Amino acid sequence: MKATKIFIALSLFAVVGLTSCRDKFAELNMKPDAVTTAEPSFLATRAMTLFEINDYLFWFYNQSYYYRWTQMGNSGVFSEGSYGMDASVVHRQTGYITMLSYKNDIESFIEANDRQDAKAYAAMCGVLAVYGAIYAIDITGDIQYTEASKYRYGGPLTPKYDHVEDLFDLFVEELDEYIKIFQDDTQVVVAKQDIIYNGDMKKWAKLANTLKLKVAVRLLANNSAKAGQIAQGVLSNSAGYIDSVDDAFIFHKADAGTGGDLAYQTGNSVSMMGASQNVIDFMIDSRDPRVRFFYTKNGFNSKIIQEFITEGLYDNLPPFVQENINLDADGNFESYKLGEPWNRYQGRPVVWEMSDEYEAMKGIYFDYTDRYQLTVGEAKKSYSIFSSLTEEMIRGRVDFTLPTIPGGPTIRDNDDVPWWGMYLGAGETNLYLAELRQLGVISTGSAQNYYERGVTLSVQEWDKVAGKNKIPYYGTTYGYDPLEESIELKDGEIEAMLATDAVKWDGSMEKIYLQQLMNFTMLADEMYVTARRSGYPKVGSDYLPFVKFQKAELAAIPRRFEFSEPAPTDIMHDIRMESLKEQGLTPGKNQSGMGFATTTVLNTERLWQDKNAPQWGSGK
Amino acid sequence: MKNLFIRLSLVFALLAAGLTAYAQTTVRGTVKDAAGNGVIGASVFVQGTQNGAIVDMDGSFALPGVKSGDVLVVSCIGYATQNITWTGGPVNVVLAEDAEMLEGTVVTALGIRRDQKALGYAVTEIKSDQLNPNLINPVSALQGKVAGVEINASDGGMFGRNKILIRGASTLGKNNQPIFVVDGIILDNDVVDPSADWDADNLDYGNSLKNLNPDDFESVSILKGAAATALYGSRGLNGAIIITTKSGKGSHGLGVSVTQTIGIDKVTSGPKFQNVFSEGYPAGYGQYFDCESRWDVHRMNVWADGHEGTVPSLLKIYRDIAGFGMSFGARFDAYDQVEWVDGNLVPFQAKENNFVDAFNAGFNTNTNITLSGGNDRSSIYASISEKYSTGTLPNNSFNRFSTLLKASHKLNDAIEVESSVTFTNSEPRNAQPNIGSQFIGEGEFDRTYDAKYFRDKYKGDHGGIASTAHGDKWGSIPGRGVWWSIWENETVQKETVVRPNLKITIKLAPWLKWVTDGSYNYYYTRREQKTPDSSYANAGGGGGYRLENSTQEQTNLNTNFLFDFHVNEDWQLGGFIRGEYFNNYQEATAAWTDGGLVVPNRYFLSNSKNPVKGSGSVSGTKRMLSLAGQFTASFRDLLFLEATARNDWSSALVYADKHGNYSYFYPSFSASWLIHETFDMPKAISFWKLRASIAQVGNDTSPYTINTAYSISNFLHDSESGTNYMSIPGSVYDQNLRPERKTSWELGTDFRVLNNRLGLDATFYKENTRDQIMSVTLPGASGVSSAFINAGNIQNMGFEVALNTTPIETRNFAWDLNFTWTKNWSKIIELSDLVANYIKLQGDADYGNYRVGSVAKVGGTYGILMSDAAPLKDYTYDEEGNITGGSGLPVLYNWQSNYGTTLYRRSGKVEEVGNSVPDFLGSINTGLRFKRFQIRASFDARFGGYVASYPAHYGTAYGYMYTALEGADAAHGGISYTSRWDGISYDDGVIPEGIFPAGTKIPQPSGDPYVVGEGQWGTGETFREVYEKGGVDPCHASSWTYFTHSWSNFTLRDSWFTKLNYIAFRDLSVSWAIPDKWANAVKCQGVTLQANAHNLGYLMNSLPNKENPEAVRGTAAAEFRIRNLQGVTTYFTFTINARF
Repeated sequence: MKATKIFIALSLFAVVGLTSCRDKFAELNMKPDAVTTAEPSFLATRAMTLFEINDYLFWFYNQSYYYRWTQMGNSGVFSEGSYGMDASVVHRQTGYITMLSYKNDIESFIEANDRQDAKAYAAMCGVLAVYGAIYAIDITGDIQYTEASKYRYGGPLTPKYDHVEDLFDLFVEELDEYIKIFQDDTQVVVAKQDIIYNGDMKKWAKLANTLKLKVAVRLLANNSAKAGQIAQGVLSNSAGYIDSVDDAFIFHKADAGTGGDLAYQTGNSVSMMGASQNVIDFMIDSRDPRVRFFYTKNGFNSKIIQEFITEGLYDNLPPFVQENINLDADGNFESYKLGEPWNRYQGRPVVWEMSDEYEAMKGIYFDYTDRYQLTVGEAKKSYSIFSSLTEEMIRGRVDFTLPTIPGGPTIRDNDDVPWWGMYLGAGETNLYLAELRQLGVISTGSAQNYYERGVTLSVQEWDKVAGKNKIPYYGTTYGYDPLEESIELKDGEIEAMLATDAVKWDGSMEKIYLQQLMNFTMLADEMYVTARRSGYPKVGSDYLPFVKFQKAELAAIPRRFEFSEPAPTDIMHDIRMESLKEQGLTPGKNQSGMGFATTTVLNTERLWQDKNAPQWGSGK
Repeated sequence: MKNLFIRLSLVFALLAAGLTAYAQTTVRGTVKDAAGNGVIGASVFVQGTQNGAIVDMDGSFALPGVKSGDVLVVSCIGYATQNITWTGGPVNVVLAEDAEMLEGTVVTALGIRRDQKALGYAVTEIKSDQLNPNLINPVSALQGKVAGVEINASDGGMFGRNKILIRGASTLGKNNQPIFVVDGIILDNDVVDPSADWDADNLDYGNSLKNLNPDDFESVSILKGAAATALYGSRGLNGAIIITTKSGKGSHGLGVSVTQTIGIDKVTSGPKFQNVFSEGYPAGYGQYFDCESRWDVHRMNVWADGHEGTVPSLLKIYRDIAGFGMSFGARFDAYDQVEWVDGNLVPFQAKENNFVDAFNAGFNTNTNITLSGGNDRSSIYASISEKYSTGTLPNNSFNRFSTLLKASHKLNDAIEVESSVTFTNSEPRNAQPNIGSQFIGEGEFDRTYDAKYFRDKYKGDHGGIASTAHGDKWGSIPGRGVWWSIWENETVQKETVVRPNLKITIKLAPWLKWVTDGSYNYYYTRREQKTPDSSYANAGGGGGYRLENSTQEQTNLNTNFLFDFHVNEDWQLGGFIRGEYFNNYQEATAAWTDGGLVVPNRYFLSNSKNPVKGSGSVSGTKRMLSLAGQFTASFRDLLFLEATARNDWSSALVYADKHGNYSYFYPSFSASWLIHETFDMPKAISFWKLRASIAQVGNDTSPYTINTAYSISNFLHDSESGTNYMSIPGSVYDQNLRPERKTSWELGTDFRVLNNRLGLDATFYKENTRDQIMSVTLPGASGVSSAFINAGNIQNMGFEVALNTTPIETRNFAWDLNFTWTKNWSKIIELSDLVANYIKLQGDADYGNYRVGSVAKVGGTYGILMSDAAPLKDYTYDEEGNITGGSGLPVLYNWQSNYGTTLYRRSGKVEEVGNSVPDFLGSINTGLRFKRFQIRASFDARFGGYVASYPAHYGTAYGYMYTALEGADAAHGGISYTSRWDGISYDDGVIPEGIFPAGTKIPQPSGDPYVVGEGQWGTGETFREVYEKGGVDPCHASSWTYFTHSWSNFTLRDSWFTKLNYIAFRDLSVSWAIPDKWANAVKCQGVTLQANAHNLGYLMNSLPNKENPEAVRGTAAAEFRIRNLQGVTTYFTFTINARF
């Protein structure tokens, strides 16, 4: 009897347990933090946080090639290896695909919910997509664009490749369309969700309009008429263009409280390119304040110099330091010839390994062992003689230690600073206009005016970015060396710079291009494109010469990266191979290889936009 | 007490009977087992009466009231019952272990014990005494013991996961591990998969299996095929390991057992390094002091200018170059003394054993006490256990405290209640980092580094890391950071498992039972991580603190009707129907300091410089309802049929909008036929069974996977209130996903001759897993990175053979020798249309440190290896890509005058280069018993299947591993020659096997190049040909070695990409049961002493640098890459067991 009762009780319990839960399955299988309904403003914000052209991979891979090929940077002696032992690993700038994904997702939301007032969010993503796509084209030539990022919405799985020329047309059309949306006052935008312009649609319209100039200059080598037409369109568009520091596309993604990569950019340290002596000489000659924003000071402040003298190591000081100081009667440091902060910037000479020049200077610049080292008691410190690109301009988590003598105080700046990135400024815009006007492809405005305005705004914009990023010595001397100078832009410097021989307007194309290159020092991708399309720096220049090595023909220096052949099993294989064939590009690896030749396919088989451009160092 | 009462009652009853009996005698005697131990608790009864006695502590008994001709029945569970007709005198019985009892029944799916002879599929059951209970991970104790199962240690360390794969990989997912079922509760056996390419360490804290106490195991059953696991339905795809714990059932009286183990863990052998050359660049790589030429590398590699003329010629400064990362420098016999990094003059020699010296011996102890007892109605089993182990690096330890209490009681003849509760606390602490990577040029330990001496010299007096900047004594010693993090950083994980269980059995009719079983599994993990600031006086504002908690709660309920009845003399029917409920819930929270600690070395969250960060979520909610049933029929006890069916309703494949295929049906059929019972067989054949089965099992997916939607985050941007963003998921999901479904059939036989002294158990199986739930990588430009779909068909087919022999068996001496052999063929029959024809499983075929990836490719085996870094072969092709000519030799780059070498060209095309799956596996187990001594040894072997080793790769590139010696000097095969470039004589010449393409202009010292002709192959000239014509010097071995292994230019070389063959000496144990009288003298029923050694080394290891061949990264099924450089850690233990 008991057994039967227990049986009935437990049976009831089991039956209840087994039957009542099936309806909950869908609910159980839904992750609590998953959200099924789109919010266009949140999606647009995500696209902005993901937008990055010069990210870690770019600095890890591509940049060193760009600086070496253009000789705009130099981390050592030049050799066959400088042209790429293995350039097969390249950051291909595919970020535009992500931007398109967000644009398409917002558009699909608008269509499904008839939310026409949210089109501005899609347009913002669209502008960022065009910006990114331009950089992708710089590296890759034809890219997947019109069919890209549509698979989720029923589009193709294997998007076709679009031709560069068609894309340039399309970008202009798209940007014009976006300008109309930004000018449409029925659009509703939540200011705080727009981390670039804080909801200011006029600035977005200017950005969209100005972006067309990037397209125009890239058309110059092959279709200058169309380039002119586009640029003229920019000038006449009611949206206006980026013409002030305030309008510039400069932003930071998140505050310190957010932390992580979003606030500070990559947490991985980046090997920064060293300065080229030719570039530093040019910038010092032109008293260009930007040298202080782009490059680090070397280790030789006056206290260190004096300590070398005190220790009887005057002869160990680098010759350029010796030349730059006056000694008193006792042989001690008295004053600088070229004062702070200019005296602290130093590049490496551009020389070929094992050459006579190399042998002559290697003890100073290349194989100096303990020469730039001080030992006081048990303490030992080495001092860098060279400048390199300022890491804190590309990522916020960089610690700085002030050079002090051994046993001296330890002065550090370990604060993490949310990172501000510069993407498109009024300096760049005006320098493009100067170029286009001087070439005669546009008819409005004065080239000199554009040029001088371009230089001025470029310096001001980079000063702003350096200040926001709190780079070492900006607004501080750390109170160690009384002769130390801080590096922020000071009154009258721009005027002085514009008056130097190297900068003073004389109508030469070289000066315009050199100023573009200077402006792009920290935007290596754009710098490379500018050098590639202009032929500057130029061999034999009085201002900033490109060094032609006896052992390396100009035609051996790659103008693009290799394209590896996709695996035969890759679903994109046929489409990709067809695209390469159409562009006349041979896929393969080791094309620059260790066997250094007089010409390489990486120089001769060019991307469409590069086809009629001058050879490296050949000017225009 | 109660037990004592029962005993006393029995004794009185017997005495009374004895007094009243006529012509009856008290029979005395002993009952012992084959080893001579008394069989305590055995009973001796006069057949057909209630007159009986129980064997006492010293193995003897006295049974009154026996008359001549009476049949004495001597029995004990686990032993064959003996009937002895008494004709007078003492009775000394030796009970043999009962084959029918021990081997005759096995635990099958759902914990059901079945007659093995009735099973139509292979099941291997291992008894607890064959498992080493001192290993933390119970999987490692199974190594080499079961045919058809591949078990490998991983690089997860002491408490990390091991890899176990039954009958090959069935699914393209990473987890191909069988489920573990402990007393009916399914435990997660998740995989760990840190990137072999990018994560230096596998800091694995293991999964829940380490919380099991192996001392409580009674048996472990391995269910391999689908027919065996069909009753697990959607969770049975990869097989099942069923662990049954001990209970007091069947025991009479009280038994106490105390086991104490102590032991050491010792790194007994390390990888092979070169000990000939010190730090220095390869030829041509730099400019050297004291060298006649830049290629003359075997000198002290100090940069030239700073030291020129200033260094005394006999005293060499090693200080500036030690630990700089390449070891192609001066020979160790070149100088007597050098100035080391600490400024001391030291003999210039390699510390040959510095790898092994970096490790200390770990100590371990395991204490286990069990009480068990019972009578006809009740039983109890209680155990308490404490294990503590320290690892082979400082601060690495493991602690486990566990208890198990099990009780059963029959309320009356119809109702039995059983209950148990397991409680475990375990504490894995500071998983070992990959310290081996410090020895291969990636860290700072060079061949002169004295690991034994310097392993604790890393700290300054101020408490921070030693630095020359602070004038610290050890400031210049290499590897301070490595030892700092080992000694100072602290990560402690604490896990708690509570597992209660209640089971009620009611006999509704003689042929019908109703069983209801409910259990709960509560798994709580907390982790605390303390990272001190390493700067001066710990005051640099760094450091951090992190606190994590996670819980997992599983509820299992099932109810069953079991029936069993004789239809007639020929037929017996049985089976059950069952309903099941399973629910899983998990949550995890974490909080951590950000930006460093305010007060150094104080670990609490509000000590964070920036606002505290945190995360938390509910996860893994999954529910499954099931109905299952089994029907068995046996005919005359010689033919057995079985059919099972199971239907699951699972939440994991239900979409957000409530559609989805969430009902799945899995059937199985099997049959077993005893031939020796059916036909008259020769006497020699003692047993012959044929078995066959066909079944389906399945596998659904993890919760939420198919319902991934937008995710939102918030952050701060120029505003006090947060800004939000929303991310688009990277994947798209098929809207009609079905569970993966494996259909398998198997045929097997169990054939024994000569009274079971020779037995062969062989199985052939074929399994096809269709509807693979797979994530397929899509072209990036599609905007979607992957698609989650059902497709494909993987086939596994293979043999499992076990040969069990007992060559010698006498009363005092027995020797058994058992073999297993396993061979699996896998084949990918079909994949999705979305993949042209391969899916990446592990690694990248065209990128990274390995440039080899394992893939699934239609027509190939699972885990084919593809790479773009094989040397380019010299072939000519026609338009269709067919080979038309060429030498087939590797194509060489042009001569690199700077480095005095050439190197292989990479093929640059992703192509098949091998296979990661072993050709076959085997094992040998043997045991010798001599009186009270027993020795057991086991060996297991793997043959075939490639592994790729990162440490061998870079350790060779940078000149540290043994393989870097190839050609390095005359003693190591280097060719002696005089360089045409500098006129110096060298003995480091290497002539590569390879060909220069025709037209290559090889630079010459004279200036005019040597132009390579068409040669015998029409495509170019081999290196040797050009060398013999005087067109090229031999390569300098160091630069040849470096460039053919360097990141930029490496190709697949034997030094690191190798077919893996090994024979492991897995276990050795010696035990001795001390004589009973000695044991009795200390009031024990029995005492056993046992010494064990696990992982004694490799009798064979095909890896050229003799690294640990079982250090493949993580436990993902298709992983083949070694990332950690490990030696062999041997676990020595000594155990004493006393029974009271």
